[in-house]
Amino acid sequence: MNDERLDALIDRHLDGEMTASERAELEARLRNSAADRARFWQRAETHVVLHESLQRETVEIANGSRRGEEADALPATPVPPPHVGGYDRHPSFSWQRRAWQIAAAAACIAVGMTLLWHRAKPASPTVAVARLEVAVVQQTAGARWRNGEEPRAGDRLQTGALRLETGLVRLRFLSGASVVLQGPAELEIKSASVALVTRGRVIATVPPVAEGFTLLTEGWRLIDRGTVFGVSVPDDGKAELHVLSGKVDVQGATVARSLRAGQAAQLGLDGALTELPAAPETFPTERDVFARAATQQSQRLIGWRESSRRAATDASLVLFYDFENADRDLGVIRNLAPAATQGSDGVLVGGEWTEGRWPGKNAVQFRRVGDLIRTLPLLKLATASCVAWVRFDAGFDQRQTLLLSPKVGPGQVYWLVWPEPTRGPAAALAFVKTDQAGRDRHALAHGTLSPSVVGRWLQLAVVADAARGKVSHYLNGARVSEQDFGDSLAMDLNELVIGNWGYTREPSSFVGRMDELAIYRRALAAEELSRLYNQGKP
Amino acid sequence: MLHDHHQQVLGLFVRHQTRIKGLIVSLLGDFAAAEDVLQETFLVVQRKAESFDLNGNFIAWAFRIARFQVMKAQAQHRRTAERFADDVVEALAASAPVEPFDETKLAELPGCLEKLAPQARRIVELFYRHEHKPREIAGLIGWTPAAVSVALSRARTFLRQCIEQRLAGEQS
Repeated sequence: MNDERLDALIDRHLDGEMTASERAELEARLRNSAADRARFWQRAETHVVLHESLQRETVEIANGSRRGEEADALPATPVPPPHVGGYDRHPSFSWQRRAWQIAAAAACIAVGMTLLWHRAKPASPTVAVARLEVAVVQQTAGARWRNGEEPRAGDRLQTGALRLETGLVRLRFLSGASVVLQGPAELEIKSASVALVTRGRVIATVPPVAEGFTLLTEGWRLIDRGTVFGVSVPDDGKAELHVLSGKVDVQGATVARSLRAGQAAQLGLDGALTELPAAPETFPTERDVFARAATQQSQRLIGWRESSRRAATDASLVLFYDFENADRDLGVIRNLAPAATQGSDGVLVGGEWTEGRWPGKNAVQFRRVGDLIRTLPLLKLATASCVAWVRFDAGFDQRQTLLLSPKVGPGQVYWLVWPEPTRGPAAALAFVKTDQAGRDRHALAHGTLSPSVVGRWLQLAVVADAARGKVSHYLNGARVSEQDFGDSLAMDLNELVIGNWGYTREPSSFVGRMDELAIYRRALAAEELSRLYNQGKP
Repeated sequence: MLHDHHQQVLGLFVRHQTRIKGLIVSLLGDFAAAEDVLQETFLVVQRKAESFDLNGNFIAWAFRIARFQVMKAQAQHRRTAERFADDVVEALAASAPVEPFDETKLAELPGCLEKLAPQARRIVELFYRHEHKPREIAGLIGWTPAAVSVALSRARTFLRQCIEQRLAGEQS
């Protein structure tokens, strides 16, 4: 056997440069000889060691974990910079493809191996994996993503593109670096410490723990050395770097140098670095975001109070707790429904008063068995809509009761969150009613609550429509399921327990906050729920 | 309990992903495609986690999944000259080493890389760090693709020997 020839063929394969005849020759040898197959793996091992080692180093550099490296001692031959256009498949661009692994490893440690899934897309598992949460939204002010969604404080962000249409968003990367985006801006999160700015204004504040945080612009790599710096990329693509404090290492195709506080430069697409007078005042600061977020939140609270006052006049309301009209000392929550019956005020048995969707808005925090609200609305309904604003504070590894009628027997009703681990990490919303024979009948909206909704204020609703014999579940004003119930919907709502139930064998405590609850004696239409959602969203 | 098992299997994947990726990279001869296949493999491992016996050899089990994902990806995207026939993939996968990846080799590599001639070092960097194809590297440094391939080949042979010598030296 000619090992040199074999090695050459194996290498051609590993290089990805093989001709058809070389391929046939190598295949014939590998088919026929176990020794040649062993040789293949020997040869391939060096290939794998090289790739793994250099890729890990690249990631370490990008993550700033190589602290020993002195910033001024940059390599004499700068490495080719990343390319913006079509880098998804660009062979020189490994950040994005690496990010999921780092994040996977980080996630294993950070959240006890719970792998985090793409939000509410159960259909195709191929989109469900690999993009892991690497940043958290800290504050927003008038912000809207291009897809129309509004970022909210507490939102977890995955690797991938962010397109901010308007407003300000402050993000905190997992590495500890803080970034303020001013819309319109486009940022691609590559990992917990690397992001690509393709458009707009971005300011990065990097505490020592996150040193090495890197912003990329087309053809340039800006590596933080403990600082505050701003980057702007206008539509013409000529990026500017302004260093407000500390030091930033700048690497381009032919230039590698450091800029310090008070320095600024234009970073040309041609690889040229041109010094500019620094203009730090043109960048939004973290304080701007705080100030604007506070103003916005108080405006939204005022807006909610007005629309809530109007909503409370709906004659079909039988129970309406806004948690504002409440005696916090005595633990009584007033029922504001026009048709309120005696005894339908809520009695807070356990649970604590806390902050709701906005600062200054009341809510109740439920945590343990016994954290619950009891009420006696004396209702028997066959058609009803129940709408609640809640925030889950823990993952969905147990059932969580939102509301139930405690009297066992026909007509008993439960509304709860129902984990289905065999189907995936997202929990179902469930409506359960006991039929005449004493059996439980279910209407489930599978896969509705993914782990990523934890910490987010959500509007949940269930509509039982006797006339159509259907039960529908809603999340944030959008219908997530509708099904024939197949049984009478006659519900015994004489007495209700909200947020918990201690008398079952398995734990079923709601762990989270509630700051609004409404029950109507009619089936709300999809448009109404959508409108209520838009009026009430934080 | 079941949940625990699932997490342990995912933990094994994370621990052994270098080995699993190594198999995929070697069978495909394409870094970018390997990353996609690795992700697909991860998905299947996650789906089938319950069926893995924790007393078994995880790498061997994951290799069977990875091998199938390689063939699946190849069937979708590759022309014949660009890929191994399925029976060759199977034969190779069946003979691939299934012991855990030897991290000590990574530790020896930097010292060995330093001994490479500057241009060879640059080619290795462009190929393995920046994942340029030999053809692209040829364009970047003004060599012929064949010369780049030869330089890569020689570098691999040298580095392999160098790593082995260093490891042997440490043991003695």
